[in-house]
Amino acid sequence: MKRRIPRLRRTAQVLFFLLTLIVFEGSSTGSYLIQFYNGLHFMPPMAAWIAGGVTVWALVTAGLLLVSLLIGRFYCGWLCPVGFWQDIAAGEARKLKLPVRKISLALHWRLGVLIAAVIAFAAGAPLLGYIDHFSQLGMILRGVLLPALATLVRILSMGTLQYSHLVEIHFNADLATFWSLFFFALLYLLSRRYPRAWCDLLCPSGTVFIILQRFSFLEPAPQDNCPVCRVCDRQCPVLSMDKGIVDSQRCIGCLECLEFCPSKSFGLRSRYRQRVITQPLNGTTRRRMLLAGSGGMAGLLAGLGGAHWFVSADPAAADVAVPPGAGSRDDYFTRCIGCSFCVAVCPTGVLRPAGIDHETAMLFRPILDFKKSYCSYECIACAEVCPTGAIDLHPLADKKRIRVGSAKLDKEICIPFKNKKDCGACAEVCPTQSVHMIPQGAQMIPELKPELCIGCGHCEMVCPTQPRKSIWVEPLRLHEKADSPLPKNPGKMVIPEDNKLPF
Amino acid sequence: MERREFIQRGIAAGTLLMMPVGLTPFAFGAEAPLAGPPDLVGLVGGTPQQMLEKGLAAIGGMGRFVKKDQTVLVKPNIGWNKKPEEGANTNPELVGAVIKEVLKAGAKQVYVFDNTCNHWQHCYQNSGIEAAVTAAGGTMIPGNDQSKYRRMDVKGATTLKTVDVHELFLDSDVVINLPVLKHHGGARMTCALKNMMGVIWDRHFWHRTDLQQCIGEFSVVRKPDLCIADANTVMVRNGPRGVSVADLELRKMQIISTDPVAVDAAGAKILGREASDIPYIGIASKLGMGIDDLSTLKVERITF
Repeated sequence: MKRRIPRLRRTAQVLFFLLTLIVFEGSSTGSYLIQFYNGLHFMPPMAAWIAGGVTVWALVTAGLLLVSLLIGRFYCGWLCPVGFWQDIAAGEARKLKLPVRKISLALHWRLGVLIAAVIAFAAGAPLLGYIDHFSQLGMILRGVLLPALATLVRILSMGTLQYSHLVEIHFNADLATFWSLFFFALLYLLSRRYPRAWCDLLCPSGTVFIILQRFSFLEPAPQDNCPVCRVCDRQCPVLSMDKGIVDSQRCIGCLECLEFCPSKSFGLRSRYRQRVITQPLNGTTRRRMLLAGSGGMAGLLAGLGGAHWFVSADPAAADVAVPPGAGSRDDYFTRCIGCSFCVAVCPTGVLRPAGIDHETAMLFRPILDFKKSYCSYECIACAEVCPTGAIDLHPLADKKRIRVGSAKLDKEICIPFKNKKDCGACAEVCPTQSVHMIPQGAQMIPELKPELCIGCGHCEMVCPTQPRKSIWVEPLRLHEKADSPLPKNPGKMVIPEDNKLPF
Repeated sequence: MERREFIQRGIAAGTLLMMPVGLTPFAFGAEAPLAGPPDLVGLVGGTPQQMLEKGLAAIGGMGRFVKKDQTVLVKPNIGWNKKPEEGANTNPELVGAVIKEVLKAGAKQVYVFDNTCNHWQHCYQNSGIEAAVTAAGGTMIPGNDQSKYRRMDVKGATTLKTVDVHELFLDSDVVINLPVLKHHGGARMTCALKNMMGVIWDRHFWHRTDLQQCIGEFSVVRKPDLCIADANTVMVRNGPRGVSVADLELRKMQIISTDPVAVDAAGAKILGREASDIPYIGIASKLGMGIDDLSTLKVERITF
């Protein structure tokens, strides 16, 4: 017998994964594809809504939620790349005939986690990013999958593919890379024994879709002719059946039961037209839901104070620059969910996920690292992809005046001061000429105009002094607006009147 | 034959073959200042393409420098993520026109690259140079691959004793230096000699050690066969990057010569300076790489 549904579902999962790869690769940055893609998830858009940024793309998310109300966990079963990964592991185990088991966390606990995470996020602790699958997905893409693809493409194209962002992506042996490798390896092993272990335990997006599925219009259910052969109990990829009764907390809406049932008893049936027999939630009552929810909230609010104290107490806290558009360091670290999308598309590679070299609240959150690179004057890529609005999108002309830090100069070690030699590496690259060269005797020396500095870090990156840079950016906690470097009157090219060769 | 051996022999053979070409300008300069093509052609008033056409004809045609089936490196300044009208990079139309001339002279392959200051993809695309080169039939090569840079000894150098140089600069049969004349805060001016900083890897060392001395000394690694300096829109302040078009002057000029030192001496005058104001010009001149005193050269001036 031909099985069409599993193949169809696999195709949908592969296509969605490819779409994910395409948008993270960065060449489509700035197109509507990005907003559309970001809208196709739940947690990142919700994080943006909490932060107050509802755009027309919320309609995509609303559409996704409506689909969930119609046929249940469509996102989990047919789109989610992390779910896909678990399905691959579970399929492998099935082929090897390894024993599989159920694992679950009662819905009220899951709901408690979700509410706690959302409240924490709204109150300013970036917990959401650590437990939502989208952040893990972004991190493995940025850290492992895209570099691997890029390496492959570099080898196969032999230098012919020059202008794609992809050829510029390289492996970075940082903590975020290792973490995502560890996370997905662990998830693979877990899913071989417990299909969809992540979905069944923690995933906060999953919790939302489970709740919607409880009220979904259609649900797979057997007819009265079910002989209780229990084939479905074994065949269901996520073990959601017990004697043909669907556990709607576990069902991912894959619809494979419609095909594999020997007596063709399963169909998509309206929950509201006829009585659909579903399993009761294991022990979840309204009271327990409320209790777990409020318990989660209370515990979290207590933790929040501590987290805030931790963020502000660290004396090294000021030493981190965050992307233009973040507004302030505190806003940024409370809104960012650490998905690494911006890191993946940053053309200069100045963004990197913070490791343990920074405070805990910043872990895996992208920061500007001027040691290796600089923030491009003509670029707003990070803001264009940020799904949560942690990096707010400003028009390029506005972004060019956002000051994320201020350059400082140490004349004791600066080459023209110390060695009496020309250098000017910093002034050469300064896009606003905030650092510019002026004559001092026979020497050209750098001079700072702090009102023009935007803290792009290019001067720090190119400064040749060792071991310490003689010019560097001191990050600002609260971003400022720099003066415009453009001439007051509309600048025009000078056309000399008597233009003759001077030699 | 091992790859390394092959490459070594290739370089040796290439260097031997190149010697006569490299020596040609000296021969012209020293022996016959009044006969044959001029040492330097200065042009003013035309479009970059018009000036290139007349200037090349005056200096003996592209055929004097490029022979059939040779590989040619054209090295413009593509250092900045700036649009053509912002004047921070070599005029893309001029780059395209030079490549067409090179191909017309029978070149087998024309390469263009720069080790850029801004991100290379942005520079190549927004400067318009990538499009112009591809349209003209040349090949753009990324300059960010460190494995393509080869360590060279610099003869007679006191500061820049070794330097990592891009293989295209070392191995191409012909090198055409195609700078844009600009004010430069650090080096004081950028034109022919300074443009060569785009074929080396570690610019930090130059800045840290002695920028002027390094620029001057690098000129001995290989003298370009021809220099064509773009002085159409000249950045007169805030160089080399520029802040706005108000930093530009429309001078509509071009300097063509086999002598990078003479080109820079002429460029300095266009900026209202003298060769003696720019230390690296004197350093390269003392190393015998060209003549910085324009009065001793045969200069042809063409006005449109």
